[in-house]
Amino acid sequence: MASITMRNIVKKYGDGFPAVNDVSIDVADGEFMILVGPSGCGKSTLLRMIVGLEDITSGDMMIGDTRVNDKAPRERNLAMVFQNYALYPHLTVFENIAFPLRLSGKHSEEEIRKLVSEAAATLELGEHLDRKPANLSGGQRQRVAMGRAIVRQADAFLFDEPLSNLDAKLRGQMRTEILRLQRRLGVTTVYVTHDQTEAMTLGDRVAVLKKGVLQQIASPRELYDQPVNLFVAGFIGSPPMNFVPARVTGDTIELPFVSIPLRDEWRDKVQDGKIYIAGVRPGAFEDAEFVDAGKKSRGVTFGVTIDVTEWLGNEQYAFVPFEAPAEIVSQLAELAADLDSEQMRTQICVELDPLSRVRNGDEATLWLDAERIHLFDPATGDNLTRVEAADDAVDGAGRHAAAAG
Amino acid sequence: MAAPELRLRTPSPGLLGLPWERPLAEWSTLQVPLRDMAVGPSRHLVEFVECDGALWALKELPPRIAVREYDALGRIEELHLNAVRRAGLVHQPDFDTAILLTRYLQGSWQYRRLFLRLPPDAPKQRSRLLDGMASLLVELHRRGVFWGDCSLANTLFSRDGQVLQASLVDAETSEVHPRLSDGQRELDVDVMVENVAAGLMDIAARIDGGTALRDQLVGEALSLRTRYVGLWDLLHDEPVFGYADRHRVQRRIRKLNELGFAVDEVSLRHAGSSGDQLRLKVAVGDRNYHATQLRELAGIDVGEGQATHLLGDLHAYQAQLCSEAGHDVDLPTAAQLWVMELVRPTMTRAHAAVGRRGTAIQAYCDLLEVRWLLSERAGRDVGTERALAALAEAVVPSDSAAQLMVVETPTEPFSVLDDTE
Repeated sequence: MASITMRNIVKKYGDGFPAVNDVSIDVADGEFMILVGPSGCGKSTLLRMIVGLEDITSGDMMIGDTRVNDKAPRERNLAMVFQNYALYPHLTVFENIAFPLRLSGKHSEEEIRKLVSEAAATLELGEHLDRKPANLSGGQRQRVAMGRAIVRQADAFLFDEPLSNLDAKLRGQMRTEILRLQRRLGVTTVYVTHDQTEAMTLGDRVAVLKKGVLQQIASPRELYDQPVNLFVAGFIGSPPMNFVPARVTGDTIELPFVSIPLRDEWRDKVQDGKIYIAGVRPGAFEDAEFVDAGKKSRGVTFGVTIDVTEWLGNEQYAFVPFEAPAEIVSQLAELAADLDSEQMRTQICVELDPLSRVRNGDEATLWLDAERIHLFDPATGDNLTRVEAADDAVDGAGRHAAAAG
Repeated sequence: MAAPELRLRTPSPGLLGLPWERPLAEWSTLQVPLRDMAVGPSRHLVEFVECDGALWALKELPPRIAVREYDALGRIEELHLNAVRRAGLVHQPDFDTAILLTRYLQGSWQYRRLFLRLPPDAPKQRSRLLDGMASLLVELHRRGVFWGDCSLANTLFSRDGQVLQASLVDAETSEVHPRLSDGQRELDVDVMVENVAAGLMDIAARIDGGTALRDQLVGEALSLRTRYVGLWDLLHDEPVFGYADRHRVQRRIRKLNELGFAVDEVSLRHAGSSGDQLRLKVAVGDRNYHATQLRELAGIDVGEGQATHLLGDLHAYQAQLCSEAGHDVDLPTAAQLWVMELVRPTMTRAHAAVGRRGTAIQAYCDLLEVRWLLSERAGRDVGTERALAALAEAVVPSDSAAQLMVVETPTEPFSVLDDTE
């Protein structure tokens, strides 16, 4: 097993446009790293440079202590999992896993038997080795394909959108299998996806990319709670974060429906009279009736007219339109384009207790947790109120070690 | 309910009338002319439909992937590469799926047919198949196509003279770039070798339990890399030599032409600063050198493999004409006579002799090959009648390309041997 280090990686194509621009990422030994972003962000290009499919324009690609920029894919000792997961109907499960070893010609029959048996034990396929693939369940078949990657004893696993090719049911099943396998083997893993839910559920750390530039690399929790900018804030989370105009006036911040007190630690980060973009997660709101007395005081209550509600059984959302100044609207439209989303963002989405009786067209009293707000610079998109966490890499590796142990 | 969105390149009534509003899995033979084709396991649902006189393959995919494959097939078609042709894309918003429609390649067959119909130990025939695959991958790579999942199951084969042509059938993982990096090519070759090895072992397991042939098959799969590299290097090699050695240009061109490659341009430029050494660069064109020549001379349109064979026959015919006439007969004139006097009548007889299997021109090529092999064995020319009889009795020399006519049965153009055969 090995770490993967990307130092100032640049990829330029013939037209000179940098598809990946000065990206540096350290993937610790045993870490599960996700590369995520909308299409065109450079995540797949980055993965292909790790594998050796794309030439690197500049920068260093290190696997362990070795610089691999000029090495052929085969010499890098990486496994692209699910690159080929065709199962062969007349070969036993054992042979379906063993054939890459037979082909390499480097192993004795005894070694092959040992490697395949160990992989099968890890994947709980031990009892099925003599069967044919037709007699396996869907999940077991996927594990056979993973077994093929395991027996190679690769230094790292790489996944390039492995679930995009599957239907919804298999997708969930496979996600669990991948996570279980990675935790059990503790193998360094880089996983590319465009799906932020997949990124949040799988990764120790998540690297968010936009137009070839690394935006933020952090644990899923930190990305969610302390995004560095509007882009990350808008990309991570479902339903997405609400963005509303926020005018700082004296000791208060005026939002479209309500004003909240300006926190002392924010005073030197903002200017009086200026309009910012406030980011508020749907979950920072609540139907005022359902707020615990204990936490009510840290927020504010206000009345609005509910436009539409969506009740999903275990959760409920309400939508409330608002007006925004032209400059904010254009900034939000640009953000929507960057995020590949067509969503109209001049309405807020509010998460309500599923028991709330608020319905379409109702006048409702909502509560807003004033502590769960970020202010963004409308010109640069920077998060002005972010609180940096302790060293994230240590956090990520710790979580992994705990799970593997 | 949202209606399905249709994109069809051949909006024929049969295709338009298919029940696109229902999931592919629910189509039944009662309402739809489905054809049962054994194509081996696939990660997606695949069905075959026969309508408007053609056979169509339908594959159900997530919409994003389907659009990508449809686009990739379009680019591959523009590059005139051997591949199935895209025929349509249907988006079914209600099921969040799409159906990719391709037209089944007429006269083509899956590798299983060859293995199941020939004796298990037929390395020469397997070699033809592997050459076809390596050549296909070289052609794809020359045009910037990364396949991503080259395997026996994702390839269809067709006969072309004494060689087999391979075609790409599945472009799910394909990408088209202006040019490929060495890493992309290497990975693609690695994937091909691994997939083919597994595919061959699978077939062997089915035929005889597998272990007896296993090592040999692994060796054959590994030879794919050598075949690929040999051809790639021949096309891209840039040798350096002195001006006095410029005859090497001719040798190089002849070699390329023999393999069927047309040469677009040759350049000799100074290699290094001294100016006495030249670097040869050959811009290699399409692999249709003999086919183009034959079309221009005789007006017949055939595959490159067939053309190679037929041109040999034409030259022999011309020599015979000259000796009979006692003076020179030019090649275009000889070609006209050759088609009328020899090819057309004999082709019909050869096709009849093989029970009208495959195409008539291929039957003629088989006749030429069998006649030549039998004559070589007998030490004298055995003549056309003897060769026709051998074809009719299907007693042809083993390892001959003609032996491959077994893959053309049954004569119905679309049926494929299924797993139970």
